[in-house]
Amino acid sequence: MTFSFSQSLKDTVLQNELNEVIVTATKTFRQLSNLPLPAKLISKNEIDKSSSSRLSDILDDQIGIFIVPDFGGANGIQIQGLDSQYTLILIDGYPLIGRQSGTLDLDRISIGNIDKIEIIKGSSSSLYGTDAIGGVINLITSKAMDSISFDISSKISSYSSKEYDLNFGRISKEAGVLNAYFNLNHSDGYDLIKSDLLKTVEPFKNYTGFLRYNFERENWSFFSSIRIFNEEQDFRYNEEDFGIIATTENNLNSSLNYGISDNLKFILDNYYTQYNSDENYLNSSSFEESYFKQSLFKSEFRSIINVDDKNKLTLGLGYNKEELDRNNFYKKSISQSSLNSFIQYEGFIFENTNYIFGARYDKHEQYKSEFSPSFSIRTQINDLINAKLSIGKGFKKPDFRQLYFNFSNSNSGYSVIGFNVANEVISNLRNLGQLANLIIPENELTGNLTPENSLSINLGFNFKPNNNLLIDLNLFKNQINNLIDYRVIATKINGQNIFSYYNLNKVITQGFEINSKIVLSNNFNFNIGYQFLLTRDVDAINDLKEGKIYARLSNNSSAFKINKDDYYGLYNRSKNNINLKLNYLFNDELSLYFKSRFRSKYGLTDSNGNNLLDDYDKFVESHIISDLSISQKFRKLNITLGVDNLFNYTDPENIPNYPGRIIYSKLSFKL
Amino acid sequence: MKNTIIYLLTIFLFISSCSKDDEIKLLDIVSNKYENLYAPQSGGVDQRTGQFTPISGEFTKFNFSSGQITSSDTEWDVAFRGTSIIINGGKSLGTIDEPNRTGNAAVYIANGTMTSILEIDLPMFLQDSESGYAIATGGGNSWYTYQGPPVNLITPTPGRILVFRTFDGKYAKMEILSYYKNAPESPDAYTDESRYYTFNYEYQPNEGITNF
Repeated sequence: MTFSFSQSLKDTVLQNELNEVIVTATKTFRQLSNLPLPAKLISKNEIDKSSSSRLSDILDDQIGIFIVPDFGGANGIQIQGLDSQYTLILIDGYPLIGRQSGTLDLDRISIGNIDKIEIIKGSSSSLYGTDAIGGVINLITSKAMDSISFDISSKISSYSSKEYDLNFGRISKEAGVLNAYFNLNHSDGYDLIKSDLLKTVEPFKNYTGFLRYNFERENWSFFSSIRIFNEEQDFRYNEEDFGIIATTENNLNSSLNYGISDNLKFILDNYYTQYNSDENYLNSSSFEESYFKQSLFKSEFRSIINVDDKNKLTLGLGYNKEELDRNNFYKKSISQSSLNSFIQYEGFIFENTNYIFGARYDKHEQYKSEFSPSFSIRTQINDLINAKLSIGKGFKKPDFRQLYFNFSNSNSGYSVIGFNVANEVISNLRNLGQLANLIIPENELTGNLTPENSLSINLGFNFKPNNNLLIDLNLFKNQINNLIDYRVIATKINGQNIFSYYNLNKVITQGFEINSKIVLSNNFNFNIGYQFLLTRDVDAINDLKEGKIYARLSNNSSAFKINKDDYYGLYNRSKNNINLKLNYLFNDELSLYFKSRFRSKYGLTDSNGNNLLDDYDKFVESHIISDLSISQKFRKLNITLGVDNLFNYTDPENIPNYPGRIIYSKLSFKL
Repeated sequence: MKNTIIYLLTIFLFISSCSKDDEIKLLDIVSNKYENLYAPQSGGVDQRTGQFTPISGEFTKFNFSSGQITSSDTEWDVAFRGTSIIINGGKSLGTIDEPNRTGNAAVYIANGTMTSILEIDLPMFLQDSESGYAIATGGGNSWYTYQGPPVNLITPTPGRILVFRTFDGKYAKMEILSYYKNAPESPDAYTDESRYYTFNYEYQPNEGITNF
């Protein structure tokens, strides 16, 4: 779908939306307008307008979604107040892997070949299994629409960043539909803190190659794609101390779709993906290598039965096998497999009310099996308003790090060990005479970690009084039980702690989100969104109620007792978030796009040492980031000039992912 | 010598108060702040190479009754080396340069503030032993919280009051305020010198009195 300038904005914005189709919610083609789940689409048009080239850029503009850097520098997603590790990121329905510390780095994913991005908020474990607690984000790649298509673009921005995109598409009746995509991206990086030896972001270069193929016949079809990502990043302390990080990622999938009749269809999906990251560090006296090699094989068989015109039943069976080999692990290589089956029923009760029931059973070798049901219902109250409610259980299995980690920090000497190997590591240390105190008794370190599980509830209303106004309201609540955290289990004779993982916390995130689209005239529209978010750790609240928690005004003054009202919530969560997007057309060729996002204050660390975030801790100040761009079209050529972070907001210590003002130009050509 | 003077003074006050109005007059509780008690250590983990060498170095000893640091081998109550805190009671863990325990000091960590901890909870007292110090080492376990990278700060955990029995059987309590030189309001682990203790303490000089 390309954005046609001769069409008025009114049509593109509001009319098309109702006819949009979404696949992520049900794994079937489904009209967005009657879907009972909280869903959102980001169109190709919006991706183009924002000149975004990485997934992190475009998601940062969405209401209720934050891009949050972790301590390793990976930029992950926060959705409905839940961390990156609770959100699945898919390309054409297949999950990406490579979460070195739980965070999936969204800078890795180029979006030049993405036709639309589908976002489902709330738990989707009933369909997707583990990790789908906060939401599922699915990138749908472009499929050629013309017999031959070709487009190419280049974007040059501050910090010597260059990005080139090439898309090629071909349709032939005999041979099928082929799309090829290539992206090249390199940057000199940037340095926000000059006094230290390393840059905030070291120079890097990466490329992404993608090829997809579709073949369709009367009653069967075949789809396959391959994606390759490769990145190299250098870091250098001085002439003698330097290193390189090399990352590669490969994804290969195939999907076979066979329709026995109009009412019965079989689909077989197979997927294999691999993620490798190698870090080599060299100095005059030593050489260090750290590596992380992960792979996933996934196979799923689905049958879709059309019970009648409107009611549809999906039955599925799946198999997953995951392997990981990394340094700082107790075992050389670990593999785990699981089986699952699921059922989904999409039905109508009355003409104006429909529902989806889903349930999935995941059987694991290593821990308790999980049953994840969900139910959602939507009703068209009248011509102007509809309401939807969805309730779902979600889960996240303990990751390999939480089970098998065996890491000692070389700077300060502390250790982190996985739950499954804790007793062995402890007894080894005791035999070596390295153990000082055992803080958690050994019998608490036996058994299994329990998967984290969640309950999410969403209640939404869509209000469309006329063709110029659309308002969505969604209230949400997520509760995660058995949250896996780490604690000190013992101390070593060097005075440092040994940490391990355990199930403890119960965490709640809740709030609401309002989104509105307003068309003021044929050439002017805007979009405004607001999210209010409250988060809490239930144990922290209990400790506060029992009067166990103290704080200090500064780091050299006496402590005093604090109460429940002084609690601020979870780390890195802002209570208020506002997004604004304005689009103005001067004429068919010239357009202006302005966007702005506000994030209210949030706390990154417990600065006063009482292990929770309270009003007396240090906070990151609230801030606004605004971007402006102007595009001019000359026949098949499009030129965009833009400024990201117009007012040059930076906070080097707390927000390393904002380098300050970026000026760019983008040139694209479409055949 | 100093103790003898205090002892004589106590006797004198005791006698003089008795003789005047027939009731026992107690010594005032000492309430003070001690600034920049320097507690260096050698060894540990080398920040550059990651090599661990055994921790060593003299502990800096403190005596509540005099309110001063001391080099006495016997008349000390509590001593500091890096983040480790030992007491003059119990047995040595046997680390290099660790002094022998000659007194009967003991300690426990209470949850509260200097003004809320008014009674000594005698059964809570612990002494150092061959398997570990009464004040456990490691961030989060006893008196401090370690805030990891990028700040790498050692912050005294608010609400932790160290309650002591001194080597000679009196009682005291302590709130550690800072681990950095001159107790800056917002310390910076990279520029402020560490291993400088600043603390508030109260000392109950009267024998056998278990409240403040």
